[in-house]
Parts: sequence; C-alpha cells; structure tokens
Amino acid sequence: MSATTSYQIYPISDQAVTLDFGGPISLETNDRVYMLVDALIKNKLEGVTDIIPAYNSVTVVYDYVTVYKRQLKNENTIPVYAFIKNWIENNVNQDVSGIEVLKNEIIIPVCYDKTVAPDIESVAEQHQISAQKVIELHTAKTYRVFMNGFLPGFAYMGIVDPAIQTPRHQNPRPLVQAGSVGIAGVQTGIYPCNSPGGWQIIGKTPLALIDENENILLTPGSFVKFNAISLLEFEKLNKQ
Amino acid sequence: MSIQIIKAGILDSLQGLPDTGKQHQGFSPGGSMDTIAHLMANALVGNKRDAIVLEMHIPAAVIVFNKETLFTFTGALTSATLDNETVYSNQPIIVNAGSKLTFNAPANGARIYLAVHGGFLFKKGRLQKNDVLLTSQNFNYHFEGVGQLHALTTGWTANTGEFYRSNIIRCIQGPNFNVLSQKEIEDFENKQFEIDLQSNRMGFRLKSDPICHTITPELLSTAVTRGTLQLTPAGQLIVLMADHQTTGGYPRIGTVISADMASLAQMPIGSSFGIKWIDIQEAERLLLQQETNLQQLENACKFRLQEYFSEK
Repeated sequence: MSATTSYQIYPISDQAVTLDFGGPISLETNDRVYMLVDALIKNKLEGVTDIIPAYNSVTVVYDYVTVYKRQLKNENTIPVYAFIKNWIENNVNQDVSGIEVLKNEIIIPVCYDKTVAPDIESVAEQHQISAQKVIELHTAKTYRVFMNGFLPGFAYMGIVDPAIQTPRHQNPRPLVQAGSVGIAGVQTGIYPCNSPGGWQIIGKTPLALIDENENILLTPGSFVKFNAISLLEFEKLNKQ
Repeated sequence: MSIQIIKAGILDSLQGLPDTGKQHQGFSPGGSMDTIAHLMANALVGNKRDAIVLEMHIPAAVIVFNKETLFTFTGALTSATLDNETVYSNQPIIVNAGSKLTFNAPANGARIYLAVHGGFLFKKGRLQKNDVLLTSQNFNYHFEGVGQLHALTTGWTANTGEFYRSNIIRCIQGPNFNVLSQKEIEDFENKQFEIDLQSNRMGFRLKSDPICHTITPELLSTAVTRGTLQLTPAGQLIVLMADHQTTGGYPRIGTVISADMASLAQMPIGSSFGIKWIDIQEAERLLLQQETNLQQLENACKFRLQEYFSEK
C-alpha cells in the first residue's frame, strides 16, 4: 500500500462530483473509499444530499442552490462545483497506513440445491469441478460489501475465488427471484426483489434483504459469509 | 378532501420532489419527472414546494372532486373540461364538490401535474380506476353560487413558457467523453436524437445513428445521476431520468444540465432534439437564473392568491 493517495476528481453533473481512486476492484481501494465517506459524513456540509460509495469512487450529490446560498453566501467567488471539489479533497486522508475498517460479519444461509439454483450445474461444468466444490469455494470466503446499487438493498460483494468466477449471461433472464444468490466475474450478490438479471444464479437465501420499512440488511462496508443449508431447512426458514 | 379517479390514464402516479439521502443503499430518488411543473403546481394552489402532486401522461385520468377545493394543473400545456366549462393549464381553479374533470387533447408536452390545496397524501405505485386520493387538508372557502356555478377560475394564468425549450438540450461533458473520436465529436453536434418507445421514468432511450464505433469495455460500477448520458455497447445513448438506478457501468459521455431536465421530461416519445455541449460554469449560471425566475413566479402566485381571497 502506498503512503499517499492518488485519484482523479471531476463533476459528473452540475450537482454531483466524483472522486475516483482508479484501479481494479480491491479491498485496499475500497477501504480508502469508506475512509473518505466517513470523513465526509463527519465534516458534513449543508446542501450535500447524498454520498454514494462505489468500488473505487465516492460521489457527492448536492443541491446547487442550497450550497450557493449557505456556503457561498450568494456570491460567485468560486463555482459551486469547485467549492464541493475542494471540500472532498480536504477530506482525503493522505496517510492510509494503519487504519482499519471494522464492521460486523453477517452470516447468510444459502440453499445451493439446483431447484433454486438454476445455474449451479453449468457453473460447475464451465470450471470442470463438481457442484459440491462450487458450494465449498463459495462458502469458504468472507466477502466485503463493496457497494450498494442496481436495486434498493442489492449488495455488490467480492472477491469470488478465481476457480468459480463466471461471466454474466449474454442475455439476462427476464425474472430472477428475490433471494437468488449470483456470481458475475469477481462479484457475488443477492437479488433483494424479483427483477430481470444476468448473474449466474448458484443459490437462494430465505432471508429478506430489505424489510417493509425499507431497511436493508447488507450495507456498504459490511462483511458477509455464506452458510450452506439444505432444501428442507430453506423451506422451513422461508415459511417463517 | 379527496378526489377519485373514475377513468385511469397512462401510468398515473403520486409524486413528490426527488427523495434524496438513500442513494448509497441503492434507493433511487424518484420524484416528479418535471420538477418545474411540480413547483409551479404547488405555488398555484398555495402549497409548500414539496407537497405531493398527481403526475399524469397523455391521455390523462378522468377525475371527480369529492369536496370543494382549489386545484390546478401544470406541465404539458392543455385544456380540460370541468363539467361544462373549459379550463386551462397554469390557472388556480376553485371547484365544487362533485365536479368532473376531463382533459382535452392535444397537449403540448408529455406530462401533466395536478395539485390540490394542501397536497395529496402519498401512496406508492401506479394508480387504478376508482382509487381515492386523500389530501392532507381541507379547503375552507365558502363561495356563492353552489349548485349553479361549478367552477371559477381566478382570472389569471402563470406564464411558464420561459422554462421550456424544445429543440436543443444542453449538456456538460462526462468523465468518459474521451471514448469519442474527434470525428465522432464533430458528427455528434449535427445528430438528432429521437426518444424511443422503450422510454420510461427510469430512462429515455435515444434513437440515432451510432454515435461511437469503438467498442468500449464495461467499467467498474460507479454513481450516476438524473440526466447522465450512458453509452450502450450498440453505440446509442440512454439518458437517465427520475427513477434511475443509483450506479451504472456504461461509459458516461455527458450529463443533461439540471436547468434543461424539465424540458427533456416534457418531450413526448417520438420527438427529436439535438445536444449542445456547454461548460459547467454556464450550467451553474443557467440553474441559478432558473431558480431566481422560479422564485419570482412563486412569489407572484402567493401574492395573487392572497389578493384574490382577501377580496372575497
């Protein structure tokens, strides 16, 4: 890990600025993302409406008029996007050594039975291993929630063992059921609701990823481990 | 107070202003597609900016008012028949209990916003025939001629024309603008983009000759916003609208400026426009100007409503 942080920073709209650390998916870069998010939340700025972390970037969405009035006191001394850019840059911690991101580990029960896992056999076939081996490799790792996106409560997790990394389907399925656990390249994720989707479905969890009050189970920065359960257990838990 | 939908239109829904603050968990801000029409509708009936309004497409719903109220409709310029009278967009209208409102064709624009005094109570999803929409407060205004006169307009109309443009949508360049070659950038300025049939509140697919011929790899997902111009693998554009996903992996070649989003939201499927690139400082200036003009019009509405009701 380098001692200083390099990044690019640019507006993505007239009311949003992105700081992009670059590079591939990695835990180190994602740690920097959440350190920056924490610093921005701590040093909150009136007019900022959303702080959106992704794999290797943080996007700050703001209400232009509020920032202009509250922060710049209605004066055009500096463009608002430049003011926001400075605020973000002032919160980038240049020293990234010795900082730990501590979060809870969440255990997710997953049934890998082919009746709820339409792609588990073809994934096994593509890698010339058994379905049982796919389950072993998928449950062996602790995954990081790198970000939420796509659907409310959908968690992009990684990094999947290279022996079971599988690209998305060329043509997405019109319907993937809520709770379906999928793989897409280095990523794994769970569909929080019924949706069209292209990920390779290798299992299904009986847990609800989002409740009726729109609270989500897998928040960015959390750690997740999958625990294999039988079809019987799945059906029992699913009824609860 | 309440209104009832006696004939559903196309995708009628209740909408607020964009609901921000949960995009990091994947929740789209949503809200009215045309925020200017949303704000104007509320101003014309004396509501706060964030009061819930009814968003309708064309053909719009047929509505019955269950109690007297003050209402208006904004957005697409059109007329409607209120019992036997014709009423127009951008007017405050006082209506009696039992009156029926039917919108007339054609309309200049794609979306109509109906507000009632006090605002609606929010209810999620697509509205159906016979749905009753409750409002958060009654309109305590007694007017003469009950039983004879079903509608009174207050005699003036807010002019919202300056907020809308129809041929050119202005954009700022995005972080992946450089996927376009010099030749493609030159060609871009002369292209027309048609709003495809497969367009909805999530996004507008724009039909054009391919704007880019190099195949760009999918990028790591990162945040996108209302107005983001995504380049698909087929070389076509999708512009993200109110119900957009919070993150995406397509190259982002630009973003529609905030000041032009209402104009885009009012373009019907099948209509075409050109794109002009401007710099972000110009985009900020236009947004500030729009906000100033909006506030002036909101203040004028407030003043006129006060004046009207104090005379009675």
